[in-house]
Amino acid sequence: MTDVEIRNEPKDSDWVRITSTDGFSYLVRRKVANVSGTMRNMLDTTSNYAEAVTKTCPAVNRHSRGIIAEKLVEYMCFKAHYETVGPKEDIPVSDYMERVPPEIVLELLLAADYQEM
Amino acid sequence: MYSDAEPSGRRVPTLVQLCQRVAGVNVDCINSLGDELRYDLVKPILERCSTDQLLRLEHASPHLQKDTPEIWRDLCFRKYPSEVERHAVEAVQEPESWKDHYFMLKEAEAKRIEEVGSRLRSQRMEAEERKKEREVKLTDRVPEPKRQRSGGWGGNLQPKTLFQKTRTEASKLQKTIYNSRIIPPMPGARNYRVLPERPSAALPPVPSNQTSRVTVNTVVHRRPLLVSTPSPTTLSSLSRPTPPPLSTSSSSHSLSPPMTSPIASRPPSTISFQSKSPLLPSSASSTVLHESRPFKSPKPMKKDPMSSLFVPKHRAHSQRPV
Repeated sequence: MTDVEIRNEPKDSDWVRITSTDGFSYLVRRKVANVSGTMRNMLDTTSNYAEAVTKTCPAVNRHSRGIIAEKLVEYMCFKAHYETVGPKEDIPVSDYMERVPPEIVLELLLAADYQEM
Repeated sequence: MYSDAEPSGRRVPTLVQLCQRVAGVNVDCINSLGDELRYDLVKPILERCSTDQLLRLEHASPHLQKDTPEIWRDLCFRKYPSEVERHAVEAVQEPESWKDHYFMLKEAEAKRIEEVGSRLRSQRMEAEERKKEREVKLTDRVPEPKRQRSGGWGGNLQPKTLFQKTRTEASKLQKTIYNSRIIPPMPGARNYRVLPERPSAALPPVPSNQTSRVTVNTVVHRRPLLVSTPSPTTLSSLSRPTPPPLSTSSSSHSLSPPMTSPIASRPPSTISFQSKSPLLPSSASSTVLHESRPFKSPKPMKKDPMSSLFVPKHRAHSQRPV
């Protein structure tokens, strides 16, 4: 929907855009976006999805508010970061949990399920 | 369920799991699960609900109801553990609706509690009533007059004349006041003689268990005859050897001179007493012949008759030292 950067070969350091229906968009690295199974598939350049070409993908197939997209992205970053961390470090899951307001948790659950996250 | 890239030695929980956790914590904030969430997504949330919440959520999202019986079943077992045993042992057929079963169990329990409560209440009331009956109550009635003293049981045939009445009264008085207590001789008790002894009578028998310092020797006591009838010549020959030791002993012992003190059981003592008088004129009347054994005065023979009033009947009530 908006301008994109076109690269021939996708690299993990590429930026991709994640959009929401109410106009918000988030730029994240490809690596981060790949946390979500759905997004990974969408952005896969071997397929011919439009999203892959444009390197944008909506957060949810139907309506999804910006806040949901934001939480999704937040999770993706969280996970991507702690995936690589050594076994000695504790993963502060409760921190993330505190940042999820209960008011959106059900929508988030739905979106997460959709995104296979 | 989560992305294939597994971190080295650590698992970041999936967003789905995290959401379920957060929602489970805030279950009471959730009003409805909506239409879109599948049962398997919300199952962990429902498992954490209470019965009221479960009812509410079911009502809001009817599409979940076909899947909830297992949750109701778990609720039943959690709340009424006896049901678990019942179903395990008897192999009872599964109820049609676990939800209805649950409510049935709940009602049964409430009824049971109500029964027990009412029973306790009635028992308590009864106890209080009984207690109240025993309390002191205020009343206007006068208590019943005392029954006549066993009189007129058979019915007085004739009313008593005044003379007869005074006679009966007097006899009653006599019994209670003027009768001194007669002490019956108890077996094994000491025999106390309380009346004064006549001089010629024998001395009272001494109790053998007496441990006092008084050593009483039963002696035959004859009053010294201060009559000079016996011939002094014969007697003086008898008594001559005796006086010197006697005099010393007698002078060393000074006694109060009751004539009833025991003296040595020697008949010649009386005579020597008599003969002593010219020898020791000063102490003639006062000294009493005795043996050289130390002794103390015995119990006085004459006893106060009034003291008999206070001698207890039974030895156990006596306060005398044993």
